[in-house]
Amino acid sequence: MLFLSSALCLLLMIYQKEHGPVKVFSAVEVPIIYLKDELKGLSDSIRLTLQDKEHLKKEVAELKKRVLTLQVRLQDLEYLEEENRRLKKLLQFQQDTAREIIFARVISALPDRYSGVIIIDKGSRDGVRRNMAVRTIKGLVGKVVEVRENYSRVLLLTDPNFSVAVRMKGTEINGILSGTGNRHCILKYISKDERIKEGSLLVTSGMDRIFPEGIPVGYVSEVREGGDLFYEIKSTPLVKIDSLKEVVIIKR
Amino acid sequence: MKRLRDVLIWAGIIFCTVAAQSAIGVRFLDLSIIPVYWLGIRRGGSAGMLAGIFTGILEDSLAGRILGPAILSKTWVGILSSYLRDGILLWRPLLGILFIIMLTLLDQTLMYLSLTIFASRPFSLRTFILLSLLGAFVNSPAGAYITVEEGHGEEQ
Repeated sequence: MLFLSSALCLLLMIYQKEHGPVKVFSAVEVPIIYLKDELKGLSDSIRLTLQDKEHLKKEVAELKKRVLTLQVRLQDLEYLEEENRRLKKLLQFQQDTAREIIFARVISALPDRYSGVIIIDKGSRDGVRRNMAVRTIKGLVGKVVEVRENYSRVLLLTDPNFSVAVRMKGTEINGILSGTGNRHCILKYISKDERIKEGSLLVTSGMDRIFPEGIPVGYVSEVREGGDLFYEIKSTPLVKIDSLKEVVIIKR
Repeated sequence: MKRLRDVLIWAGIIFCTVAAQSAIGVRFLDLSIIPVYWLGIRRGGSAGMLAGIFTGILEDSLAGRILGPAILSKTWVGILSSYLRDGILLWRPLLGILFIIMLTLLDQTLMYLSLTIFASRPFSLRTFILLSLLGAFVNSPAGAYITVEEGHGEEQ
C-alpha cells in the first residue's frame, strides 16, 4: 500500500515537472479560501475585543494623526501632479499615460510554509491578468501568477521562483533581484567594479518588460565580497509581507 | 450509514484543520498531520492513507503548487502510524510523543525533498530544519493524548 501510493505520487510529480502543475482539484480551493477568510475575521474580532480600552484610545489617536498627515501629503501630491502635467505640456513631452490600477484585498496570506504565494480577491472578472505587477504604497509585492474568475494568486518577491530586473536608485547599476524563501532577497550580477553602499534603494528598471520602471523594491542590507566576479548582496524588501492587507495591481 | 457519517465528519475535521492552519498563517505549524495520525493509529492503514490523500490534496491545491508533495508525505504518515500501532504492544504517552515528532519530521522532510526535486527548493536547509523542529515540538503534546487503546482491533 505504502509502495503503491508513493509510486503514484512520484509519477504524478514527474508528470507535473515536465508539463506544469495539474489543476484538477481546484474546486476544493474556493470553499477553503472562504472558510479561511471567515476564520481570520473571527480571530481578528476576538483579538480586537480583548484589547484594552487604553490601547484602543492610543491607536485611534495615532490613526487620527496619520490621517491628517496623509491628507496633507495627498494635497501636496495633487499639487505636484498638477504642476507636473503643466510642465510636461509646456515642454511638449509626450503625455505620460497614467497606468490603470486595480485595488485588491489580500484574502489569504502565507497559505503554507512552502510557497511564497498570497491570494487576492480580484480575478479575471475585474481585469486582472497574468504577470501583472502587484505593489503597495511602499513598494513591490510580486506578480500575478494565476488568475481565476473571482480571485488570483500573487507570487511574492521573497519566493525563490521570483526575479525582477532592478536598478540602484540614482545610479546606472542594474541587477537581478531574486527571492530566497526567507524574508530577504538576493541581488545578483553586480560586478565588483561597482561601488555598492548598504542602505541604497533598489527600484525596478523595467528591463524585464514585466514590471513598470521605478517601483521601489527594497534596500541593500548586506554586501559581501563573493568568490567570483560578483558581489553577494542581500536586500530587504520594503514591503512587510506578513502584514499585507491591501495591494494594488498595475494594469499593463 | 454510520460509516458515511464518520467519513463526512472526518472530512469536515480535516477541511477545518487545513483552513485553520492557513488562517493562522504561522509558518512552522503542521497541524493537519494530527487528524491523519489519529486515523492511522485508531482506524488503521486504509483510513490513515485516505485521510492522508485528502489532506494532501487540500494542502497542495490551496498552495497552488504541483500536486503530490503533501499527498505523498501525509499518506506516509497515515500508513506508518498504523504500522506503529500494530508493532507496539505496550503504549505509553512518551512513545506517542516520540512517534508524532518522528512522523512530523518525516512529513516535513518528504515535502521538502519532493518540492526540491520536482519544483524548486522552497527555502534554505537551515530554515527547513528550524521550521521542522518547531512544527514537531508544537505537535508533540498531541502524541501523548492520541492512544491506541480505544478502538484498537476494531478492524479485525
